[in-house]
Amino acid sequence: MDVIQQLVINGLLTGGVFAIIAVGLTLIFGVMKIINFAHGEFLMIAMYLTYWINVKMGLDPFVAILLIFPTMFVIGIVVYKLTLNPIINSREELTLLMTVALMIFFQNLALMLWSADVRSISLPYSYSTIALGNLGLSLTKVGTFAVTIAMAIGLLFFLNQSWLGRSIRAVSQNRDAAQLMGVNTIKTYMYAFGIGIGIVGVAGAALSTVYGIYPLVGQQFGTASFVVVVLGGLGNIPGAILGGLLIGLIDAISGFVLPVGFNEAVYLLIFILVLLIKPNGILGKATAGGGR
Amino acid sequence: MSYLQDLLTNKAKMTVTIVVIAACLLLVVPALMGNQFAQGIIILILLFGTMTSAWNIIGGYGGQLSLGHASFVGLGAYTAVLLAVKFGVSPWIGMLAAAMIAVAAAVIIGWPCFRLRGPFFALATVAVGEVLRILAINLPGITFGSVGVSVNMSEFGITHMVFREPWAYGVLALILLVTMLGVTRIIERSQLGFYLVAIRENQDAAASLGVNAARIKLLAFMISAAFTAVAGVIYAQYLLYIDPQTVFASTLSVQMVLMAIMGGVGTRFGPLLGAALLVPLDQYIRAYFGASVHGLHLVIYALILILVILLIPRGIGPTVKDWISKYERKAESGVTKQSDEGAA
Repeated sequence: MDVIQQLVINGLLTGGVFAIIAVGLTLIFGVMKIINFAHGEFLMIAMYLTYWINVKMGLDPFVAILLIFPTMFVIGIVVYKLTLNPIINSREELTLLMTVALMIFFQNLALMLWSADVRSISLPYSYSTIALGNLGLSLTKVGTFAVTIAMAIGLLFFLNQSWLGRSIRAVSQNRDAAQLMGVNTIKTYMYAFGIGIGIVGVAGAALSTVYGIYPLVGQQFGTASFVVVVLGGLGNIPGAILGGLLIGLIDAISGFVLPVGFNEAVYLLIFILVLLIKPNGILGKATAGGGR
Repeated sequence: MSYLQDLLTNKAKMTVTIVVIAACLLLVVPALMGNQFAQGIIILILLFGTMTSAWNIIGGYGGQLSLGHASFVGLGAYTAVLLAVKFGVSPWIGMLAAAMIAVAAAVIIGWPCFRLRGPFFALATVAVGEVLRILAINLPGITFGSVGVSVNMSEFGITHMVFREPWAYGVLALILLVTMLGVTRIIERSQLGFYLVAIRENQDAAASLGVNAARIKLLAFMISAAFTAVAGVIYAQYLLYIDPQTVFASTLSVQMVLMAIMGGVGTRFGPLLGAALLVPLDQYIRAYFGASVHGLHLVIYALILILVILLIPRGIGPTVKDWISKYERKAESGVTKQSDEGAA
């Protein structure tokens, strides 16, 4: 039974990571109807930022989050202003391709600047564990999970309580109606993109304590976060959190049961099934976006 | 007015013609004189031109953004190569088998996925492409896994589709490309083409007028898949070696879309134009910067793509066409003005 408990707990801890990455992605999609293929690359950038802050300034990654969020927020806004804003109202495939171009750009920029070496942050508590019954939980993983929860609560609070949060929700529900009510949609897009990138930055900072950092690390989490986002329903934040935890569990269990390499295929197949059966996600309502 | 007369009076048309001729001189002549680098570029232009034109049938005319077209390149390449390596079947028969398997795959993928629209369809095709790549890596019993597999090179010649001279592949690719463009022309002028464009512009409106959208999209997807797979076979025979990361690569899928967008989506020659621009660009920056700094060439490549998307979002083909017609209109209005003045 111990094995199953350990699998479930590990799955949930990893799932929390998937969830927080997916939350940023789903926020951006919900507001702008853009699938950000470069999302994993922003995660990678945040991980490198955290690494350098840790190496040069000796700052703990969990403390560095306070620096990473605003930095990534600004990076997100600058990238949005330069590349996406000019084409935001043109054909869908252009914005999609722009994010693909950004993905290629950032991956190779990282490769150019920092080589393909895998770096990792070593902390005094890197190998510490917390005892839970007879299970040992990695402290960094638990810390990452705690950050996820805090971030999710913070985001929901922001979306429900602040004016900007409300306008973000309004635009994601109905762009034209929101505009008629005096919401500046372009500004809302910009802030939503910035916040989405800021959130993935927080995920990156926390993740850098657990995983190695290399130019293609974004891909590893990027694909999974797409699956999570669709599972939860594109644009649905609680859905993304639930989807993340589910995919984490499925990933952990299929990784244990199936030979190495196949577990990725498993969640991709789930992805396709969800797209086909319930394209609006497990929590989704039928809308004009997907399905017939 | 004859084309030559037109050429002499029209500055824009002249510029375009000169650019095209210069490009041919820069690539075709060295290639004919045996420059391997130029030959390689031309063969890749022809192959990618075919694949992108095939993508254009469903992605351009039909407006269904497939981001998993490498699936068909991979299926085609693996079908022909594995048949040849394991059973000694000639790649010509393999080509036929590849087309049939691709069409079958198109039905299996398209039937469910065409219920999805917009980003959902794009995501589904990404996932399908990834699943096929992962399967190709993890089923070494069938595909030799990530090690890849070499083309059967025991004998050279036309029956085995293995040649010592690279230009022979160029001829094959050219024949395929011309066929593809011919088919595109036929589709463009047929009921199928008009239905596809109608579906792209407004699927609900098209359906309400009696267009069976699911059937039309599937038909276009099947044609597209067959040509992509056949191009994949020639690609494999030219490379002499395939592995999942080459022929099932998601970057390959992306490249097809990029070339189409760069040249002009939903136009007959746009995809070829896109390939003719992006392939040499990719090869040259790879040759110049690839060796010195790792990653630099793709950084430059991505930057150019970003600029193209920002500056000429409709693609180079339609944009240039617009310049020409603008010039023509200017010239015409100039002529009418003069004649008006003369009459007065």
